[in-house]
Amino acid sequence: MKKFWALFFIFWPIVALWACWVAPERHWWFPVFPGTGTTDAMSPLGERIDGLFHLILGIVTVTFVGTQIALGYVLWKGAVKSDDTAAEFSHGSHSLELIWTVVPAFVLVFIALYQMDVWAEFRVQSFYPDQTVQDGPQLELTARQFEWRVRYPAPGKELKNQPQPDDLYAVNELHVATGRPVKFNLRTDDVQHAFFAPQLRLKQDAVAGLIIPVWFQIPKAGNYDLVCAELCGWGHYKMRATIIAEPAEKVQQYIENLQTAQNFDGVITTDEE
Amino acid sequence: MATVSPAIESHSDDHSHDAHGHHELPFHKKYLFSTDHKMIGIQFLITTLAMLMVGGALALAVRWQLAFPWENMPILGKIFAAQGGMISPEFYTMLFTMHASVMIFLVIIPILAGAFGNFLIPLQIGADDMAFPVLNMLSYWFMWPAMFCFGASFIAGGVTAGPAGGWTSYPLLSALQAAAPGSGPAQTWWLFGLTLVGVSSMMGSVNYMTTIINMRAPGMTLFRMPLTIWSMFITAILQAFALPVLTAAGFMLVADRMFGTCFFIPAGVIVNNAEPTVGGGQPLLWQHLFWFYSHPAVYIMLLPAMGMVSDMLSCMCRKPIFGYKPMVYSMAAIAGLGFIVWGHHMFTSGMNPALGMTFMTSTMMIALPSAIKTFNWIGTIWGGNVRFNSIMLNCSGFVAMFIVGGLSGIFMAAVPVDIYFHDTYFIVAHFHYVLFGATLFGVFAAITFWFPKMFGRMMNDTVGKWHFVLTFIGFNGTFFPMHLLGIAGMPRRYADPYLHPYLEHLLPMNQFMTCSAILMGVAQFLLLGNFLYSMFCGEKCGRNPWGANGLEWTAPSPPGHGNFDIPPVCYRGPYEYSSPEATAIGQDFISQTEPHPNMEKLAAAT
Amino acid sequence: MSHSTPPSGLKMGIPIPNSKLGLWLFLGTEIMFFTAFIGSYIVLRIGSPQWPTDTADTHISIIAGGVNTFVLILSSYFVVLAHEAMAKKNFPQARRFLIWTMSLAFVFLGIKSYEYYGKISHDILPSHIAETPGQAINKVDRELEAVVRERFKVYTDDQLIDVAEAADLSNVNAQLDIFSTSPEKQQQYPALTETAKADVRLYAEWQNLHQHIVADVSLLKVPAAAGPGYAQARAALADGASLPPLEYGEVVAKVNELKSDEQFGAAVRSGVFDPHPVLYGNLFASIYFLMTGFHAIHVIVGMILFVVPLMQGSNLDGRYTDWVENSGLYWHFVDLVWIFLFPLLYIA
Ligand code: HEA
Ligand code: HEA
Ligand code: CUA
Ligand SMILES: [Cu+2]
Repeated sequence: MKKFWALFFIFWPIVALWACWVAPERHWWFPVFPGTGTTDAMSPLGERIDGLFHLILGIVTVTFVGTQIALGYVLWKGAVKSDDTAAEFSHGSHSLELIWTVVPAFVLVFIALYQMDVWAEFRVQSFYPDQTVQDGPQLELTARQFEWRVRYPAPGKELKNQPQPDDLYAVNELHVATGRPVKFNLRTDDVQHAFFAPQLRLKQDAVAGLIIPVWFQIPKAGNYDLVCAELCGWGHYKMRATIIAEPAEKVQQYIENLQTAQNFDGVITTDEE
Repeated sequence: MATVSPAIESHSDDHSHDAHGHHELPFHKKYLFSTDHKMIGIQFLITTLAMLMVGGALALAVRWQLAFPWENMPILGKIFAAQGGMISPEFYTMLFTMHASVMIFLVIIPILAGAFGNFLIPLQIGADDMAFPVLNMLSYWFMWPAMFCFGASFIAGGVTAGPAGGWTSYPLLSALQAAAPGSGPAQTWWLFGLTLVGVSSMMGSVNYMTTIINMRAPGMTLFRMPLTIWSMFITAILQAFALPVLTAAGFMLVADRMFGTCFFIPAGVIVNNAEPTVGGGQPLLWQHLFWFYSHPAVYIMLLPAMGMVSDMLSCMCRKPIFGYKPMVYSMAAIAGLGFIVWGHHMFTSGMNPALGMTFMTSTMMIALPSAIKTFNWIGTIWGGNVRFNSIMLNCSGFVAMFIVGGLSGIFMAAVPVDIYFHDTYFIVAHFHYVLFGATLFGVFAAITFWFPKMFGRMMNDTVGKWHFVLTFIGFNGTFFPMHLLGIAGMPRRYADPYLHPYLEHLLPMNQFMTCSAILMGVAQFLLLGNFLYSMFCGEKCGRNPWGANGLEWTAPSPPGHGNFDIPPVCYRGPYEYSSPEATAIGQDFISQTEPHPNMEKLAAAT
Repeated sequence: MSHSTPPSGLKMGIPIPNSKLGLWLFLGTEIMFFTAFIGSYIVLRIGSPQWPTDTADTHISIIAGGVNTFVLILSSYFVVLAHEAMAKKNFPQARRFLIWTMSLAFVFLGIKSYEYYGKISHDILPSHIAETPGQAINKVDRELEAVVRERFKVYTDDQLIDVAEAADLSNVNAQLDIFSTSPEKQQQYPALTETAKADVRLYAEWQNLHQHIVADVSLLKVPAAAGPGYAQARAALADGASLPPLEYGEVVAKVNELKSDEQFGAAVRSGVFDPHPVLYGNLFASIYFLMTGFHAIHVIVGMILFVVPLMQGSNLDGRYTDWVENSGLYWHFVDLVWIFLFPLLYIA
């Protein structure tokens, strides 16, 4: 029976590892990009995040396997030991303590330092791609209970923080150009929300009273999910929108259509060519 | 009296008779308004276990909605009176908010500090009671108004409009009455409840610190204290210096809601077409204040379990704890670092990115002491004479699960990765592994271990083993897949994730998790049954059923009023299992009170 | 209790009685409590582009605060003396010192409430303060309306005039007009005739202001925001052009004019605050009342602690030495907190 318990603690990590192993092919892994079967991140930043994820996954798996095997092993030794033989009498070992303090310390410091630049690129303005600095914010995305409002500047103008009379509006659908970094201002009208684009691995809270510049780059044309990741009330789960990445000229055209639609009698003609 | 000189022999008897002098107490004094730390501890234990059922029931309701969205919920549906048994979105938000609030504020924190802290501290340091017994009683009786307020918050705003801000209740959702169905009176009641829980544990922590510092038995030097006491001491410090911040924040939020202040409310916000707000407050300020408490709080929810598990492991392996001092120092380090990592909950909140980097580094560092402890536990088992009873199993479960929970923490501590994982089920997986997987398994073990001391009877070990196996399987079945859900990008706090095409295919997996959760829930009835049965009909036991070293085992089971019939004097550390001294007297343990064969050692010691 | 202080030598702890140790630890938690407030204050203040510091806006009186600081320190000093007296078993003297402490505490609260009164009388209250000229103007509008309603109540309440809907001001006003015309009413209520005229005028003034505000046209340059004058002004415009907008200064002038009116001036003075936009005023008021308020609560708690030994009257004795010492400790803490609050809130 003792042996059984030792094996029990050796057995479950194997199941856990198996679950992770089969996960990708069962789509229990990163979200699939519709159309193509790929689960890769669809933005350069996302790719680097995935890279880090896999690095940490490696380190952690080694640690996990190591510690669980160690645990199973010592339990097994305890199990096979006959009751009458006395237990080892030891208060510990300095050298061991030293080893398992220093080694993890190195690992952890390494992990910490290794990813500073990715973070900087995502959040620190001065590290943003030059492009975003040149052509400024493309649009303003405003979250509200429970939808996403997009505000584009009129064609040929650039975005002002104060809404302009000739601004163009859309709901739950934002069109961005592929292949170049796009910066936008993230705001909220009411409570806190969060911009979460799973396939882009991108997330940023929208905080009342702040205007937060966010940037991303989508190489591949297509429709990407946009959901809300910060509890914002009963409808939190249904703040669903689409990011439509398409060639620059198409975006241009979309915006012009918006303008005509808005300047006419207000009958919006959908334009999903 | 616990500290009378051992030299005076006669003292012990006149002491013992004055100890019995206290005995005949009227019922209400003995069981209800008792100032005896043991009774208060047991009161805490039973109350919190009952609350565990409530929190669990809420959890199962959450699970139901995730497995069978918008379908009528059996049994519970009727209890919660969700319309026709169907869970509405706003009701769902209330469910997980209250689930978390109950589990954290009414189960984990009070069961560790309240129940075991109260019961064990005086017994293990050889005191006859807490420093402030009346304050101690109050700290328990403050739980009731707290529970009343939480209860009231269920119904304050109508059945489906309980507090719905999540247990973190971020403004503005929690600050503006109109923001959500649950943001009305319910939220206010919730905040009152939170404050009262705070008051309760505040009284407790001051009491514990004083007791541990000032009331140790002769010879009980700091480094002879069991790790349980160390953990309780450090936890009390965390409580005492982190909690006031949350209380302050709570008052500010209540003021924002009731007296028109605007600490967390920026100007010009419009919710549900209500009047635009005036004033220039900052919502993020709440998050800083909240996490300044609530991160230390997560260690408040872990350290005592760590301490108790260390005690139990050492005893069940008949072997000294591996690296006693490193254990103490690493707990201190966890507590210290715990104060400077709160920002890791706010990586994506839009706070200054430079902070993000510093918080990431400190968060990584906090994994280090945890690492030391983990390895020391394994080292303790190594070469031990392991007794595979339900206690040992739960402790091993604790170690195994804590490793998983901790390692998932590493992913999130890495800021860029957290950009993706924040507020996904990866987080939910993480904290259930540490909160339930680690802490609760530790608690299950502790219940079984100290049950004899509480009631003078043993719990049934076979049932205990079954309870462990079923809980362990159910637990992993429920929460391990959550990692994968998180990786698949499933956001938390979603009433119906399957609305989103990229999550549709995860439904079967969620159904599997729900079944496991039900299994886990059912398994708890084994504990319930075992607990209640053994309380009255368990096999009687002597003072020291486990052959353990701690002072508590030299007192009768259950100890009378005033605890010790022989005033304990401490001669050595608590972990001298299988030491030469022990084998010399033909045992594999040697009590802390066992005098040294030669008295020079004693002189050296005290 | 048998375990208060065990025989020394074998006592493991530190040489401080539990009660005192407990209190010290409790004070530690109290420090964290106020640290949270002070921290929040600093964060909020740094986060706000222009914090109101001009005492004309905040109605902060540095003198009052300074005096209060001195008062508290003095009271703390008397506590020390009281404790010494207790230790010397000179209990009557101890009582005298305690009474001094108490009375100084009362002085502190007195001055504090005077300051609060100063704030309240200028409506420096959270969520009451107008932060922009626009908000200030609207505030005047609301307050003036309230005044009018108040004045009209007199007639509607005791049925001097019969109106179906007392809330409907224009209706009441129409009825009031009759006073000025109909002789029988005049002899019926001779007293009211004058006030009726005045109130009609007041109503007209408010209406005029209100319409200017709604239409956002200048008070001076455009005679009336409704009616012929307005129409003319409008007509006179070249199309495309717009009327001169309402200016904050004009409103202020108008308010002062109304306040100085000999008939209803008093009513307006009592009902309408000087329009005075204060950017971040609400946040300031919030934090001010929060911090001083919680400090005041602590002062009161401290006073309660002192009342206990004082209630022993002449038979105060050694049993209370520890009590006085500990409550004194607490009192020093309350004092200390104020010493932090004063510069932060009053001077900085
Ligand atoms: C008992 C409770 C508990 C404990 C102990 C921990 C421990 C840790 N937690 Fe956890 N955490 C919570 C409870 C807890 N947490 C809760 C409740 C939340 C969610 C709150 C909410 O949003 O609702 C949360 C959220 C949370 C977040 C925020 C995620 C987000 O919302 O985006 C982060 C991010 O850094 C984090 C990190 C960590 C880390 C690094 C540890 C570390 O202390 C873990 C250290 C332990 C180990 C690392 C394992 C053992 C070590 C080894 C085996 C050595 C070798 C290891 C390496 C070399 C890597 N936690
Ligand atoms: C200690 C804390 C704790 C514990 C023990 C649990 C236990 C469980 N939790 Fe909980 N959970 C949280 C803390 C905890 N949770 C927190 C903090 C959140 C975040 C909330 C938020 O987002 O704001 C959360 C959120 C959360 C979610 C995410 C909701 C969402 O984001 O949409 C889910 C979903 O599955 C879940 C499920 C469960 C389940 C199935 C259990 C199961 O373990 C429950 C098993 C059932 C029982 C244990 C009850 C049976 C008990 C008895 C019969 C008593 C018998 C004993 C005696 C009387 C002796 N929890
Ligand atoms: Cu918007 Cu959640
Ligand atoms: Cu944390």
